[in-house]
Amino acid sequence: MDGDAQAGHEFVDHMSELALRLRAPAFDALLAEAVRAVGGLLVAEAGAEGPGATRTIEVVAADREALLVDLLNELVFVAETERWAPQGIAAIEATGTRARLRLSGVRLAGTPSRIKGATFHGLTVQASGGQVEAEVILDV
Amino acid sequence: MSATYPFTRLDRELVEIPQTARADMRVPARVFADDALWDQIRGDRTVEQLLNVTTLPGVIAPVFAMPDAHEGYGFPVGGVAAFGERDGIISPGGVGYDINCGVRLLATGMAAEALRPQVPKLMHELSRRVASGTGRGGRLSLEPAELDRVLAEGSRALLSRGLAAEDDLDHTEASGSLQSAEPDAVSPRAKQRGRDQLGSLGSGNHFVEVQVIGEVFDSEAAAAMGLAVGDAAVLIHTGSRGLGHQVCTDYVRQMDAVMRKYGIRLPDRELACAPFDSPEGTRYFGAMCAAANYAFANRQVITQRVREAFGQVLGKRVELRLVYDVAHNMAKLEQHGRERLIVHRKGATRAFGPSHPETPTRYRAVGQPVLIPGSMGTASYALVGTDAALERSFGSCCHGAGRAMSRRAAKRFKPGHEVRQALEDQGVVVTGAGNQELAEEAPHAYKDVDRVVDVVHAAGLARRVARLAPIGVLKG
Repeated sequence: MDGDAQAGHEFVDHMSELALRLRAPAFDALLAEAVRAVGGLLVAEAGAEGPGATRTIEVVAADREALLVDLLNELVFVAETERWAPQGIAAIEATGTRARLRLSGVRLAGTPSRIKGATFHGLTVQASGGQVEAEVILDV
Repeated sequence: MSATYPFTRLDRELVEIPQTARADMRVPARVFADDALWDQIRGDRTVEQLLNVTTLPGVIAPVFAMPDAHEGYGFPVGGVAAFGERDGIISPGGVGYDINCGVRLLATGMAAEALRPQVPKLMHELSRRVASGTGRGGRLSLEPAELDRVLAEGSRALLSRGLAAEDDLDHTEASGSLQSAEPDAVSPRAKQRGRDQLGSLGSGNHFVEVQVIGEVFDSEAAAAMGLAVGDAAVLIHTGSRGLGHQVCTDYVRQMDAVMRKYGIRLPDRELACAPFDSPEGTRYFGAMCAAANYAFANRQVITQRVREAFGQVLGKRVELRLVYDVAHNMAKLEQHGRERLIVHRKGATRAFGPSHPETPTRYRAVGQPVLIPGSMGTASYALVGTDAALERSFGSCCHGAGRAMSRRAAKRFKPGHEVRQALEDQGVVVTGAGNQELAEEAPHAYKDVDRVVDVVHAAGLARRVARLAPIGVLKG
């Protein structure tokens, strides 16, 4: 897994899509790790052209699983419509149904089109042994 | 690896998993596959996902998987399921994110050998005019009212801009314009994503290919399609881009929130659905039809760009006639016997026979064209639908070769530069993709398209007409 000793992510094999596996010591740190993972994919695909604006992203959902999916879909939307991808997390507040993130970012050189959305398929967010782990399938 | 379920082989091309295989199944499931493809299909979670579909309310027996089926999300890719209009559901996950992803075939009437020296220049010209991957060239930027018109009318909205002809519309599924489209049911976010993407391929397995017709199996049907051995043809594969993806995202979320209200319980949250006649179901259907219209228009704009590129390179006007345009990811309200059914095809196409009223006039003697692209470097096929398919598969057929290997596994198997070299050694000119994308979409990542087509032909779902091989690929 990429990341530090406590938080990390990896992309795992899926027949036609891309599965993202995350772990972190708490749910807010898990969301931050998800931002790092997808931000890295977006920049790898479209290239960074220079520093971008800092922006606040806020999502509200019925539960933690839907919150994770909504956050990733928000990143895909902003990347495609504004050619912006997150690079760093300045602040994050999260409950089980709401998340507010202050993100620094980069201006993308092109319009990313590889990740189309995050899905509910096989979606899990589980806490055990002082860790929160999640798996989400990205439609590519 | 999928769980093991009991099954019965009904014939050489059809396997049935009985309703008793799992306690929550409402109907049996059937898979069109010979022994080798069945072994491949059982190698991932395709069957499990197919059985999940059998649990949905109002499902009509049986649900199907096509021979190119593989694991997806929610429905398997290659899944076909019909639901009653009154007691059934509609599921965005049963259509997929790329609403009306589809293919269209253009006949050139030109000998491929005469074109071959110009193919490198032609592919370069295509890459300038058709945006692929992260590129932006060739796209139309639409004002809000213009976008709403495309959502409402599909390809028909392009007639007045000189980007489509009546003959194009006549040879597009549903004339490229679904009447149930409701632009107001498409969110502002989806419209924002679609505002400047008309005329673009996107990424993944989307492409424009210049092909040569290598073999004709049915001369009458080939003549109806305007396909002759040795001629060049063009195959275009793309869908509704970010607009369609956003429609799916929006409605999966909305339906996820209302299922409890309708007493619907699911084995997979991605199957989120609502009764077809509910406010949520009706609104999704209207939005999905609007996104499908956008996809028809997208392929039509690309068609015009292809015509322009041929004209530019060959220095003369070239008649590139649309053979047919067929949708892969769609839910359609159709009459089957005495019932009106909402038929979900995810990674599957219609395959209507000669007697079906929606088969275009030009194909009334032979059946609706069915287009099955292979992978880069391998064959694609033109077939025609059969009247028997209506009885056997709700008038459905497979949509491609179907993945046999994950993207990561494909990259491990052969690096992109070797894939590129192998294609060049075959005489295929490749543009628009980096080595990573080539590795992910390499021929070895897909099932054997010849075998897949053998199964649908033998099963009577569609009849083989012509086999085509690529000579130029613009990769999304």
